[in-house]
Amino acid sequence: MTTITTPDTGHGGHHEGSYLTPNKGGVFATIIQWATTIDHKKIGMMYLFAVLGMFMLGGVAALMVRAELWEPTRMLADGTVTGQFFKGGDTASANYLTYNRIFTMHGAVMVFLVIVPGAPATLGNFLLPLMLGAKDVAFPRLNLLSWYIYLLGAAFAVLALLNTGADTGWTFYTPYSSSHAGNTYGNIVMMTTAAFILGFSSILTGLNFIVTIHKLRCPGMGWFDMPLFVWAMYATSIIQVLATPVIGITLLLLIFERVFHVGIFDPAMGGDPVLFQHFFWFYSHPVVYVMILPGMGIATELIAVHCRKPIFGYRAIAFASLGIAAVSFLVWGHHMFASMGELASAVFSALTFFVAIPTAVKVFNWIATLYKGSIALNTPMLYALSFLFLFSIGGLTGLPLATLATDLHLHDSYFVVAHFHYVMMGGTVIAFVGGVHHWWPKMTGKMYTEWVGILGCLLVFVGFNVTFFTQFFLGIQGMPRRYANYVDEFQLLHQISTVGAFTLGLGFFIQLGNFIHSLIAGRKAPPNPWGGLTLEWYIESPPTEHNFHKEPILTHGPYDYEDVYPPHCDPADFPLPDPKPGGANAH
Amino acid sequence: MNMCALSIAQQSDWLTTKIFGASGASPLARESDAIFMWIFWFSTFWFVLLMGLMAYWVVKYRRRPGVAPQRSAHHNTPLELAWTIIPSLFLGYMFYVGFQGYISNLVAPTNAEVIDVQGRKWVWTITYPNGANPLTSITIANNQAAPEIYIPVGRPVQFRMTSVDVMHSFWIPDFRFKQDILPNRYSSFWIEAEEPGDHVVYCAEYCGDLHSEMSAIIRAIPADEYDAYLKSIEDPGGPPPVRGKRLVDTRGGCIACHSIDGTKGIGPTWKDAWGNAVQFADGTSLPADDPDAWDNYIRESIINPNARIHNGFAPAMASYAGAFTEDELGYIAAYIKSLSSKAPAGEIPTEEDPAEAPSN
Repeated sequence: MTTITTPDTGHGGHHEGSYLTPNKGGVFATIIQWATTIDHKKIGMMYLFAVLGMFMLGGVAALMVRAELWEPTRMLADGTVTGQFFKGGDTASANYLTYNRIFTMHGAVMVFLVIVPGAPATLGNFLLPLMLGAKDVAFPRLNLLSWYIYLLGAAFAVLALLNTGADTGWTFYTPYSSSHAGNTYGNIVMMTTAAFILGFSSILTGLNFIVTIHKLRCPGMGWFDMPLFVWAMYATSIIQVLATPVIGITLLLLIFERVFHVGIFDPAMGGDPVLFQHFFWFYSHPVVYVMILPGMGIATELIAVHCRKPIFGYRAIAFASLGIAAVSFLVWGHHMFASMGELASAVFSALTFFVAIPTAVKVFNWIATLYKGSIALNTPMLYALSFLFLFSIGGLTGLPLATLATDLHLHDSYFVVAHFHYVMMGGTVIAFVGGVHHWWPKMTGKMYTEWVGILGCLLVFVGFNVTFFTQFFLGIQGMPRRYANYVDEFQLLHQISTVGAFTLGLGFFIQLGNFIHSLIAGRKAPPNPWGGLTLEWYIESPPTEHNFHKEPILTHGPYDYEDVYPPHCDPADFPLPDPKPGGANAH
Repeated sequence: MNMCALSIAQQSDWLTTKIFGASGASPLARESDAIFMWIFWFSTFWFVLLMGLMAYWVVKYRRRPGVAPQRSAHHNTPLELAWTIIPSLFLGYMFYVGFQGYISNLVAPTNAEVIDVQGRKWVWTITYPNGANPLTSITIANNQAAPEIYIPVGRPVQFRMTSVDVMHSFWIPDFRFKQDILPNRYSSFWIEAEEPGDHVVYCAEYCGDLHSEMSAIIRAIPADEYDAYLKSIEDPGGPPPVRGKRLVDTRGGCIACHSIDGTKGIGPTWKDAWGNAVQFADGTSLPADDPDAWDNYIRESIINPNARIHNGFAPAMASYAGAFTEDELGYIAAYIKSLSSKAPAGEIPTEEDPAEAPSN
């Protein structure tokens, strides 16, 4: 039973192949085709390749950090040093310079090159037009430009890291980063230039998506007929467009101060270091919602499809996404309770509790969706359940950080490190990996091996919790963050955390192997392996170049399982049959 | 202190100590722990409820051949309103107790002993209320020298802190509080030790290479031992107000514009200035009885006198940036403070002092 009406435009009967089919002109022609493509699917796949590569780079840096923290560094009476993996710099006082560069690299790569572009540029690019029934995004050439800007920024960042990197932390706090008197170690100008360039990629992608969502919905698709992933991308794109210019200007000012000795943030030249923090966090707080909103959108899709249930409270989730985006601009000061005055701290603490409400509502809605569903415990669903578990812990541990009295103990401790890894990694990365598994058949036309996916998910889940739950206790008990060394009583917790980190790495490594294997020898994927009702499942896996042979006309909502499938029908009838051929792809 | 949180804290004392490693070293610290534990139990309740439902339904409604999903409501307005409003009330309470605890740690009692702390890469230097700044330290962890900071048991102590280079932060885990340390201004908080003991201090704002080894040790000792210690390290240069007067008279030239007897001059008189409200030409004002604001105002007025102009006076003062070290700025501020009837008990230097004291 088809539920798409596709007007017949008399398309020819030739076999077109998919968007992945190599160019008939050979390898070189294929490379040129991909390098000059304006197809959102190809661009999304190129981003996916780059983002996964950067994730591995950032992940290796993380394992280096955890390896260093296995043992505290001690100097013995005869001057020999024990417990230090990464020797410091060349000068006598540069004991921990290498470690400081490594953790800066980890943060900068993960934030600017992986998680911020992550889901929007990969899954967002690939899926947005498909879910809307469109041929492509609103500005396909701008999309290609975004990709090249990302590459340019990534090149700058990698060059900076290979050169000497920076040792300022990804937050570049002044005056340590803005003056040579504060810091002579490192290529701060190059690192911040990389971030500045990457910002444009973000802005253009966001702009593209906003226009696409407004203008390119297929007939029959009103705002409240869109999949909730699209709502999530809409809210994300608004933040990207409005907030990213602020970090661009901030980093530009930082560069000016460092290069031209203009006093903006350095008190020695009449500047104010807290001003830098305000400017920096005015972007960097909204950007964490750029990170999590797509993850939430992915989780929504995964849960609906694998429970075969309409999402509980569709409008609540849609408006909560917008609400989170709006309030996200009002809470940046909660990163600065230890350096702001009392009134500002009070205001930001109160506002921070506000943003917790729509977030909690979404979690309740997701869990309510499970009720009376038909829940398939496959790899994407296990990731979605992991997301619920890990994101809940991350969100709840934000409460003592929003609370002023407790934050002044926990700020800049390992508690904060654990909190943001739970939300950014346990939230965004877990949802993203689940989404890649879920849409892998659509994007590549191949199935991955299910049991390997489940094994990888379990290793990641266990490894993640072992790594980061221990860090809550480290922070509560007094372990500051960005420390290369520590007092003896913290060693056991650090060692447990390190074991967890390597387990986590193993889990990701196994999944990467699963994906590579599926590309080489995976089973061919049907158009709709999961029984989804959003438009991407009505076309071939992988899709043809122009997505839909005819413009779809929507006649049901994205989660209308109860209406589309006959009551009490046997799930063995799933997946849905291929769309009725209107002329073209009869194979 | 909220009774509900207090009773929960007492019941889970064992758990609190297990989580925090050691119980808080002061009533304010233990109050912070009580707030944390309240949030912990609140979070655990919701987490267990939500994850329990999740696990139960995942098992109960797992996909089985021949069993279709059942119809259920797509939304439920009363339920959704309830689970929006009820958590909000709890969050409001959390904000309130958090704010109270925070302010309690920041606003020091008026009789607090003020210890000046300077952070620099990568060591702490301390100046006691009598102007002495010894640098004794003990060795902890990686052969690092952690400067000792002696404080009296049973008396409130305020740390008035500044940095001479980059941002640092002064974190005392046992007292559950920290404040960031910034160049060119003062920040402060206060503690009171209940009993003798050592408390480690960590720098908690990344400041470069040896950030991980910028520790200090606060040694709380009985009050009489502390007084004796201060006497023993007393600098022949005298307490800060004396030194400040000497600086003002010999290097500052301040008396050209600022009188110390109430006479109006080109600049505001210093007599009874400190601690009283000030109106500025740009419409802003300094409140009365705000010690931290006054400390920062004096410091700013020496380095950047035109930042805030006292109403009724011209912006005629030149900057003294670079003329005085951080310590000397503190001595001058102490002298100006000592000329006010609102100053905490301190020495008013007499005319004989400059002649007797050795040149500094």
